[in-house]
Amino acid sequence: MRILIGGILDWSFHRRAIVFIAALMLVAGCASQPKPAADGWSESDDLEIAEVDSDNDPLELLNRFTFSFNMALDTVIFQPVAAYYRFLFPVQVRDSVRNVFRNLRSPLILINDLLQGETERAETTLVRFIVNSTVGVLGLFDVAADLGHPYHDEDFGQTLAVHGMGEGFYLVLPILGPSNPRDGAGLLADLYLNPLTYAFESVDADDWVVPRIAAEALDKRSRNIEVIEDLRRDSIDFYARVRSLHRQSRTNEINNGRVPVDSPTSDLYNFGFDSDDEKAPEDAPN
Amino acid sequence: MWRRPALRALTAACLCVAILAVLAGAGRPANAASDAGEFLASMTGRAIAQLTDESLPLAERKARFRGLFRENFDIPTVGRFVLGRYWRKATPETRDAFLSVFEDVMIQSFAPKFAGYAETKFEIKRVQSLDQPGQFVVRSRISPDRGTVFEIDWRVRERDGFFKVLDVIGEGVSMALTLRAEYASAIKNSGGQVEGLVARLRAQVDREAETQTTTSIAN
Repeated sequence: MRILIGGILDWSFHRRAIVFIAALMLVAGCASQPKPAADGWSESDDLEIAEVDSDNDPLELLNRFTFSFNMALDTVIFQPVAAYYRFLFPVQVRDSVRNVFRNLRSPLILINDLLQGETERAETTLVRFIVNSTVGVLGLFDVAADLGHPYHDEDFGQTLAVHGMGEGFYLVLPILGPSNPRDGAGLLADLYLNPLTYAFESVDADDWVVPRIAAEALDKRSRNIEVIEDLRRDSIDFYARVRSLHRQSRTNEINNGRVPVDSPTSDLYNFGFDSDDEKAPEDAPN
Repeated sequence: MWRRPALRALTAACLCVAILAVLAGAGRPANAASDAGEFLASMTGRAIAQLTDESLPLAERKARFRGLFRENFDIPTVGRFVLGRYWRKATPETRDAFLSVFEDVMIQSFAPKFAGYAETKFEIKRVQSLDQPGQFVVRSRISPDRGTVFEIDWRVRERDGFFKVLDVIGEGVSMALTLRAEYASAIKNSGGQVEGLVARLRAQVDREAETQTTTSIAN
């Protein structure tokens, strides 16, 4: 990891990384299936249902292995450390830690907001960054949220998705967890897009990037202890459950949470439940 | 002598009630959306009240919640949906066995959640009708006394004047779609047999029942 991050400042690494990103994006682009046109009647409905039911997981065996590895690592290290962290520090301290990381991420979020053409959200991000960096004492306090500018996240994977790139296929990354070629490439691209990567160049990047990512992960994990326990407890195929959850929640992130409830193209609310419904799964071919 | 006016008043009152009832009945379809919201508010209110009623033994509370759940969740429809194409392949006996264990799974997963809502504010934000006839999405905002506020969407369907929950959606994640994906994978891994899924669910329900009685359902 140290070598990888240290290599960020080394030009040959840059070239390799860019080739790698391009290759991942190509894979994602080739593997993404065209969306069926929503104008047909029964055929498009069948396709929609088939799409809902498709796992799009050609590397399932490898993914399941990586998933088990990640789960083991979580049980042994991440979950206990996160629980201990939560036990040690009061919520105000933990919230401030999160605020600082969110504030540091603002420039990257802003870039992705702009790349997605989301001017209103970009404005929110900009206001947040200015207010929280000053009045909020270097991001320790989320003053902007109280003023009606709530936090939102963005990343380059979402930007690619907004511009029509499909996910490619399901891919579980070691340590980082559920992903796909598009979002994996996005993760790497974000490292390049993030102004902080360059701001800290003189400091020595590997002393900075890894601890930052680790601390962000620790914060996230410490807020999900019960949720993940819950999900795991009443599951009979946790891998499949997480695969489905991740895909749905990623779609929600890409849509910025604006699921058009009344839109006929919204699978989330309008898929048919039984033969009395218009888009009944019973009518779909096997 | 005084009985006649009294009788007349009584008939008039009855007539008024009857007219009001007819009017209310006629107004029903137009207000179906607000009814969906009321249905959900009443259901969640009763669920929370019953599960957190300390004066009743735990077994009694659970039994009441089961009754309430049966009444308000469309278990057969959701069960059929989550089995997907495997529903048609299953024998009637397997289907019954699945629906019975699926009800247990749902109750085990929902009961602790409602029980934990004792100190929670639960409000209906809005109700929207869906393309599917008689279906609505009720958005509820749940504010725990500590922890973050979150919003949950309930997809409900009206049939013959009764509402039932079909799906629960939070942060863009649908319960029905997730279970359908999980069960499909589990069935595939037990040789394409629904019986394998039923057995695994049953084992899991029994295991969970043991831990729930030892730790109590309200945590």
